[in-house]
Amino acid sequence: MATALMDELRRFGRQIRLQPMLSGAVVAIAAFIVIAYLAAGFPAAIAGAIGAAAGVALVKFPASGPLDESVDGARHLPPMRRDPRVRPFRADAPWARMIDALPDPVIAVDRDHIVLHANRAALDIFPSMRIGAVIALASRSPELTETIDHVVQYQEPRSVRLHERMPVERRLDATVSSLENDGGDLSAIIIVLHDVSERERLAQMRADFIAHASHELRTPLAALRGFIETLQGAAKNDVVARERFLGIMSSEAQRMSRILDDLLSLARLEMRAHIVPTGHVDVNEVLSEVVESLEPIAAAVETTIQVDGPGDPCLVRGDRDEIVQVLVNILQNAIKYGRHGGAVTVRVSFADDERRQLRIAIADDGPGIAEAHLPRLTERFYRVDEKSSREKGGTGLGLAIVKHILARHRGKLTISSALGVGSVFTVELPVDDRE
Amino acid sequence: MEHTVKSYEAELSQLDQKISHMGGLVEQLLGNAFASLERRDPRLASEAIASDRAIDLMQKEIEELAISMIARRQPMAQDLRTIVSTLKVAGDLERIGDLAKNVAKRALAIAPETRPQSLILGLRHMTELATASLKNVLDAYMTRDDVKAMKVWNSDADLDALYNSVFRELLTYMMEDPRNIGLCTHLLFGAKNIERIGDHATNIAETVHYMVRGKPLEDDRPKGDKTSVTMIDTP
Repeated sequence: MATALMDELRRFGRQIRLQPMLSGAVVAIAAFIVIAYLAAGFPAAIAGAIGAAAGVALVKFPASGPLDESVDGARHLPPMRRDPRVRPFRADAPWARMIDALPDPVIAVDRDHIVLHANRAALDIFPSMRIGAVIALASRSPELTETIDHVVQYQEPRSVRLHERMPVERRLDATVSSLENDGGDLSAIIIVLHDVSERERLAQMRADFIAHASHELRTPLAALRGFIETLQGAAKNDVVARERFLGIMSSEAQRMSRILDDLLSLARLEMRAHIVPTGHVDVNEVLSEVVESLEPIAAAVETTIQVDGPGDPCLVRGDRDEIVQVLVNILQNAIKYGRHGGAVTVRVSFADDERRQLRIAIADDGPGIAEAHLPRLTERFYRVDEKSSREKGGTGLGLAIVKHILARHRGKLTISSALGVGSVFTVELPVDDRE
Repeated sequence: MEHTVKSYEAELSQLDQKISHMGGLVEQLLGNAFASLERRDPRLASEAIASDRAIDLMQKEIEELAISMIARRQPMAQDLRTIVSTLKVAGDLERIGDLAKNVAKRALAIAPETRPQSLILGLRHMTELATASLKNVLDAYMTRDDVKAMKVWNSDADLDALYNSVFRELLTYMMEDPRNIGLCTHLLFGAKNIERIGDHATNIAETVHYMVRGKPLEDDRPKGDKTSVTMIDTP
C-alpha cells in the first residue's frame, strides 16, 4: 500500500513539475496537501511514515466548529435567517494547518468561491476576508473571479496579476491551482499570493519623483538664476543689494533642499505603503519630545504650546520616527500659520469607549482656513496661499506626508476650521491591543 | 462555469455572486479609467471603454435572473426585498460603469495634451474617495451591513466638498489662460462624473439599508454639491 502511495505522490510531483509557472511554494503545498490528504484516510502509523519519508511533520487538524471565530472579521456575521453564502467549515481538511505554516499568503476556496481556509499572511493582506464566506469579500478582482472559474472547470493551474486599490494600492501575483482527491474530484482551489507591489511601485515612483521634482524645483531655481544674473550685472558693486540678495538666495536654496528631502521621504513612504508597521509607540512620550524640540520655533513667534493628555501611557501600533514626523509636521504648521503670540493646544484622548482609537487633536487660534481649501490640504503641492507658504519656507508636502504615514498606520486625519477662530487637525491612530 | 440550479437558496446566492462580479468589473473600470486619464494612456483608456460591455451584459443577466425568480418563485417579504434590491443595485452599478467609461473617453480626448500634471491632482483625490465609497458599499451589500452602508451614505458630503473645490480651481485655471479651457473642460466633466459615481454609491447604500431594515431611509442626504449655484467673479 505504501508503494502505491509513493507512486501517487511521484505522479503528482511530475505533474506539478510540468507546470513551469508554478512557484516553489505551490510545489511545497501540493506535496504537503497530497501527503496530508492521503494520510487522513490511513492509520496514523502509515501516515507518520509517509510524512517522515517526505521530511514533513504531520499535524493533526482538529475537526473544527461551524465557523472559526478566532479569525479577524468573523465577528460580525450578519444576522440572517439563512445565508447560503456562509457554509460550515469542512471538518475533513487536514491541510489547513499546513497552509498556516507557509510564509506566503495562501487561501483555499471551494468551487463556489467560498473561503475554506486562509493563513495569517493572507488575512493580513485582506482584513475583510472571512472563513466560510465568499472570497469576493477580500477581493472582487474580475481576474481572480474568472481565474478561479477557469481552474474549477479545467483543473489546470493558472497565474494572474491582481491590482487592488483599496485600502492601499497593491499588486499581487496569484497562482491558482486545483487540488483533487483520489477519485479525481475537486477538493479545493489553492490560491498562492506573492506581493509584487514594491517592484511595480519602484518604477512608478521614479517617474512621479522626476515629474514633481522638476516642476517644483523650477520656481526656486528661476529665482536663484535671476539673482545671480542681477549680481553679475546691475548690482555688481552695490553692497547693500548684494547682502540682501545673498540672503534670499540662501533661503531659496534651503527651500530647494527641503523640497528634495520631503520628496524623498514621501517616495520612501509610498514604497512601504502596503507594509503595516509592527512597533509600539507611546504617544505621550513622543509628544513631549516633539513639543520640546519645537519650543524654540514657537518662542520666536511668541506662541505657547499646551499639552493636555490622559497621563498614563498611550500605546499605538506604529513606527516611532513616522509618528514623530506626523506630530512635527502638524505642530509646525500650527505654529507657522497660527496667530503671532497665539496658543497651540494638543489634546490626547480616546476616540471611543472601547479605547480602540487614540485621538490627538492639535488646535491653533490663527486666522483659519477657508472651507473650499479643507478637502484639498493633503494633496501634494496644494497650497492655500502660494506666497505665504513660500515666505514661511513651506514645501507643500508636509500634510501629504502626514496622510501617507497615517494611511500606512491605518489611521486617519480630519481637519476642521473656522475663519477668524482657528483650525483643528485631528489624528486618529489604532491603539496597540497586542499583549 | 455550469450551474445546475438546485434550490431557491442557490439562486439567491447566485444573484449575490453576480452582483459581486459586476461590482468587481465596475471597480476595475473606474480604476483603469482614472489611471488612463492621469497617465494620458490611450491604450488603457480604450481597454477601459471596451470593458463596459461586460458590465452591461452582467446587468442584463442579473435582471433576467431576478425577473424569472419573481415570476417563478413569487417571493414574499425579505426575499422579495432582496431580489428587488439586486435589481436596483445592478442599475446603479451599470450607471457607475457608464460614468467611468465617460472618464476614459475624456482620457482619449486629452491624451495629446502636455499641460502640467498638477491640474489632475484634485481629480485623483476625488477618485480615491469615490473608489473607497464604491468598495465599502459593495462590501456592505455583500455582508448586509447596514452600519457600514450608512457610513458611506454620510461620507458622500466629503466628495461633494472636494468637487466644489476642484470646480473652482479649474475655473480659475481657465480664467488665467484661455489655452487651458479645452483641457479644463474635459477635467471638469471628469470631476462631475466622479461626483455622480459617489451619488450612485449612496443610492446603493440606501438600497442596502432598505434590504436590511425593511423600510426605506427617510432622512434627506446632506447635499454638499454647490457648483450649480457657484459663480466666480471675473477680475
